[in-house]
Amino acid sequence: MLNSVVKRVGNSYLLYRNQYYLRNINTLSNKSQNFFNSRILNKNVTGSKVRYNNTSSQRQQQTKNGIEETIRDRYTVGPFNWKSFVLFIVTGAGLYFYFENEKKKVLEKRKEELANKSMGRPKVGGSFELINQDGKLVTDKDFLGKFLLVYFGFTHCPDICPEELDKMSKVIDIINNSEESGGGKVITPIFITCDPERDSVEVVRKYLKDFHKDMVGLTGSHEQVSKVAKSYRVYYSKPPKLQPGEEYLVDHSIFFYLMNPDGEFVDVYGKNLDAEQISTSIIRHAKDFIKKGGVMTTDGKKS
Amino acid sequence: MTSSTNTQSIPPSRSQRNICWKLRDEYFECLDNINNSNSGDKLIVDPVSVQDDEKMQKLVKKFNCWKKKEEYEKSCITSWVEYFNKRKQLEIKQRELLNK
Repeated sequence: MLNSVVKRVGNSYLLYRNQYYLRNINTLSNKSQNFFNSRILNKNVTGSKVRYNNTSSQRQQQTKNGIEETIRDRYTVGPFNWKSFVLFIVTGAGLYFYFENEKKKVLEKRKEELANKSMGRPKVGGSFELINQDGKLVTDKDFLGKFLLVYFGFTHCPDICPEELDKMSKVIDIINNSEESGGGKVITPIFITCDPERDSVEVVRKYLKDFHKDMVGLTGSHEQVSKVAKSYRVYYSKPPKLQPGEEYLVDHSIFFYLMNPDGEFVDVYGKNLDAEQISTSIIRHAKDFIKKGGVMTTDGKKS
Repeated sequence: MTSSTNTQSIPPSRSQRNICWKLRDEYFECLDNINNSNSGDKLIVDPVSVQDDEKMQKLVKKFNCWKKKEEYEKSCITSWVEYFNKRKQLEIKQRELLNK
């Protein structure tokens, strides 16, 4: 784009120069030497860089050749004068800023198009039906309007789950107490068990007492849990050969899934990140969500 | 579900967890001390092998780690003990491999 502009500007400059030549040659062929030379003289008086010392007596003796020479002299300096220089700078600067501006507009439009396209967004999460720690049946629709931080684990987890859930509580506090949230609750922590056999509603309720007061604990039937785990691409497995009543651990993926108030997947955080890093990222996502016209609620119900 | 499995399936609380972790760390530290002190000896004690290796058990008793072992196993649920032991064994083996 810029190249063609440069070409166009260059062409018109050449055209302008040619015309200038032509005009001067015409004046020559018309033999209106008086006029030509007086122009040159005038230039001299105004202090131009073109140097001519023609006087009126010399003028009479000048041959055609001599005049051509003076013209050539003039063009070795080029059609430079302060007026054209200023015009060039002003036009150049104007064009530069105009095209910079246009370029920015195009880039922004392209960026917006990209962001609006759901292309590239992983299909994580989805609808679910589970039972919360109060024994109430809840679905994904009940959590719309706030950001969600979802973690899969189990209550008999030896050390990783409790550590991760403590980290999660920290993240929730940082975000809900941040300037950006305006003191309202904008994010809900969710714990989903991947051990529904042992993690009954009561077990989950007791377990969560040790963690953040806002934390929602979800359990359900094997089918319900396996469905939600599958939709979040969570792997979990129980030891294959178990005696009835035998103790066991569940192997499972350790990730925080960030869902936006519309229930769409936004980001995922691994065990390697600390609470500060995760909070910073979530706040950034929340700002982005609002900037794009997303609606968040702070009282739990969508207004 | 019988009542006995019911009581069994209640997970440890935060305070129980903390006690378990503390005793685990103390016991494992004790084992590390054994392994660090007899660097000339080829016997490397790890919490999994010690369960059925008499030589190791003697060493553990000699270094006054046996009581710690018992306390740890008493305050952590069996699946956790198994898991922590395996992880520690792996850690010790890795360290040995790196030191070779």
